[in-house]
Amino acid sequence: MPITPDLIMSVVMKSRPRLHGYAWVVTGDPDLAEDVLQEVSLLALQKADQINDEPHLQGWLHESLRRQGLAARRKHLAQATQLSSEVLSMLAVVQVEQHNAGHADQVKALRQCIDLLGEKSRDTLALRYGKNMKPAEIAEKTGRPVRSVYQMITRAHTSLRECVTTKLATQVEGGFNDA
Amino acid sequence: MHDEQAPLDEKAIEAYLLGSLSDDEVASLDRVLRDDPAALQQLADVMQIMSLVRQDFAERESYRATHKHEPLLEDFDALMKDLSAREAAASAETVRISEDPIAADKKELVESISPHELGVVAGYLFRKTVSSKPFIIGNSALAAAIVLLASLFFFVDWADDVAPQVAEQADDQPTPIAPENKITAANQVVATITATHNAKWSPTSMERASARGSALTTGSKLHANDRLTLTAGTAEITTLSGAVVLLQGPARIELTESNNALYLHAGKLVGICETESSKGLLVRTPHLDITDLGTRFGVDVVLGTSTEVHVHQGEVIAKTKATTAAQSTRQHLTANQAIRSNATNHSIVSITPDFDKFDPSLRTYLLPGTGFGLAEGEADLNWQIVADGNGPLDTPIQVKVQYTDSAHWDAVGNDAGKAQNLIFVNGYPEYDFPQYKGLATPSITLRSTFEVPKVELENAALKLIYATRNGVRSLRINGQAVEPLAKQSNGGIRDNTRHAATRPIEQTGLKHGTNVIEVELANK
Repeated sequence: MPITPDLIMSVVMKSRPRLHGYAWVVTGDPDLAEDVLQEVSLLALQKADQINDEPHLQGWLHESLRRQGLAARRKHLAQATQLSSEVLSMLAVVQVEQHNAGHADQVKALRQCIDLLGEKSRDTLALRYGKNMKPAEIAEKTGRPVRSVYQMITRAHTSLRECVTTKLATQVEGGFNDA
Repeated sequence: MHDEQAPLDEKAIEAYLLGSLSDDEVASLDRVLRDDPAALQQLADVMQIMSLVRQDFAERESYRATHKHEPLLEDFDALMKDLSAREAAASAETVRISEDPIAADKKELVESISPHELGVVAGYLFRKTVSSKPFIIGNSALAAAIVLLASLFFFVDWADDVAPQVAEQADDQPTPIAPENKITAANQVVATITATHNAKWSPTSMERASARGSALTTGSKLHANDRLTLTAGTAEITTLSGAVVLLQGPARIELTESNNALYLHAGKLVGICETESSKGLLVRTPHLDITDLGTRFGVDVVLGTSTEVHVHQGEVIAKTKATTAAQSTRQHLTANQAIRSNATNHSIVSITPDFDKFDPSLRTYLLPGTGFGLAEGEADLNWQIVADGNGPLDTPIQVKVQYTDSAHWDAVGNDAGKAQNLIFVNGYPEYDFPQYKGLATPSITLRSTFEVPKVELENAALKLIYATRNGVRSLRINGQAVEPLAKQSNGGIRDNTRHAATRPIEQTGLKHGTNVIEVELANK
C-alpha cells in the first residue's frame, strides 16, 4: 500500500500515545516529546516517497523519534543521564510489535477508567498531568509525604492500565461496555 | 510501592522521567530493561498510559481554562461531544478555493496595485484561489476629485477602493531597513493568522492554541514562542511589523519575541515584506539566518538536509550558522537568485531559482498606488492633470491627496498605507484655475510615469483595479489603449463603480523600464 500524506497522519494520530510515550522516554520531558513528535511527523511527510508501507513507517517513526529525541535531550537536558541507545532501540521494537486499538477507543476506555478511580487518585493525576506538577510539588500542596504521592501515582497507572486493557478486550469480544 | 508481580518498580520509571535518578540508578534500570523483556514491555505499557493520561488531563485543564464561566461538564461523553462540536465549528471556518483561470495560466502576475494591496491583492491572488467569501479588492486609489460648479460635482472617487497604480520612481538609494522592531515580552501577540486555505494543524498545535481560546483560523492571534505545525494546506500569517508570511504545509514554525522574526523548522514559506516596518524580517532556519531587505522570497527547509532561499524580488542576506562569526558564510541575494545551504558542511551554493514550488503569490509584483505613503493634503508628485476636454494643458496641474468631506462621504480617514484619492491642489479649481470657472469640461486626463523593474514579463499578466463615480473613458499605457475593465460592482457608500481586469502583458503595452499611464476621466 503506497504511503500517502493522509495515511502518514492517520498512523501518527492512531499511534500517538505510543509514539509520544516513546519520545517521552527518550527525551525525558513530555513537552519536548511533543515537539519532537511533531518534527518527526513533518519529516515523515517530507520523506513520504522513501517510506514503503505502514510497517516500514512504524519502524521509521520510532527510529526518527529516537534520533531526534536524543538530539533534543542533549540540547535541552544536557546534564540528565539517559537510558542506553540499545535499550531505547529495544523499546522501539517492542512498541512497533505492540497491537494497538484505535486511539479513539483508547481515549474512551481511559476516560471511563478514570471515572472509576478514587477521588484522591483522580485529583493527584490532575495535578501531575493537568497542572504539570512534580510529585514533590504535589506533596507540598496536598500536605502528604512525597513517597505517598509517588505510590498514589503508580497505583493509579497500574489500575488504569489494567482497566483499559480489560475494556478494550471487551470491545474486541463484542461491544464497548458503557456501563 | 512495588507491585510484586511486576518486574519493574514503576516509581523508578517516574523518577527517571523526572531526572531524579542517580547515574548508578539509571544504569541499574538500564540493565533490568535490557535483560528482562517483561520489564521492557511494562515500560512500553506504562509510557502509553502515561501519555494518554497526560493528554486527557491536559485537555480537561485546557477546557476548563477556556470555559471557566460555563458550567463544568462532568459527563465525559458530553465533554467529548462539546469538544468535537467546537473543533467542527473551527474546521467549518476553513474556506475553499476557486481557481483564478488567469492566474493559473500565467506564471507571473504583474499587479498594478498599491503596496498596501500587497497584503490584500497578493492576498487577492492568494485569497482568490483560497476563499469563497466575497473579497473586495481595496484601495489602489486613483482618484482625482474635480469640483467644477456647485451644482455639478463629480468626484472621481476611489476612496478605499482601487484604481490603476503606478510604481514608485526607481530609487538608486539602498532601501533602508526599518528600525529594529520592538521586542515584545514572552506570550505577547506578535502576529495574526490573516488567511487560511484547507489548513490542517497538528493536534498539539490545536491543543495549545485551544488553551488560549484560539482555533487557529483567520483572525486568530499568535504569541511569542508559539510553535505551530501545519500538516497540510496554507496559512497566511501577518506579523505586527506588517510582514506577510505564507506558510505551506507540511511545515513547522516558531514565533519569537520579536514581531519581525520567526523560526522555520521545516517546510516552505513565502516572505513578503513591502512595508517599511517589515523590511528586515528575519527568518531563522536550522542552517541559515535569512534577513529580508524588501519584497518577496521563498524559503524551503528540508529537515536534517538543507535550506534553500529563492529571491523573486528585492534583496535578502543569507548567513550560515557557525560556531564563530569568522566561520559563518554570508551571501547577498538579489532578484532571480537562489542558494542552498547543506546541513553537513554549512556551505552556501548557488542554485537555479525554482519559484514554481512556492505559493503563486511569490511571483506577484505590486506597483504602488496613488497617494501611497502620503498624508492628507500632500501633493502626489507622481500624478498630474495633463489635459482636459479642450486638449493638452499648457501647464500640468498638480494633484494632492484628498481630504475627507464628511458632508458628501462617509467619514473615512485617509490612510498613508493605502492608495488614496487625489484631488486638485486646493480642491476648488474655479478659485485656483479660473479657466474652469463656469465651464463644464467633458473630461480630464491624468498621467503618471513609473518604472517596472526586471521581473519576468513573459507569460505575465497585468491586473488593474479601480473604482470611480465618473467613469473612465480610456486608459492607455505607453500610448496603447487597454481594453475597458469589466465592472465588478457599483453603488455603495460613495456610489462608486468598481472595475477590474487582468490582461496579458502584451495587451497592455507594459514594458521594462519607464512606463507612462494616462487615464481619461469622464465628467458625468
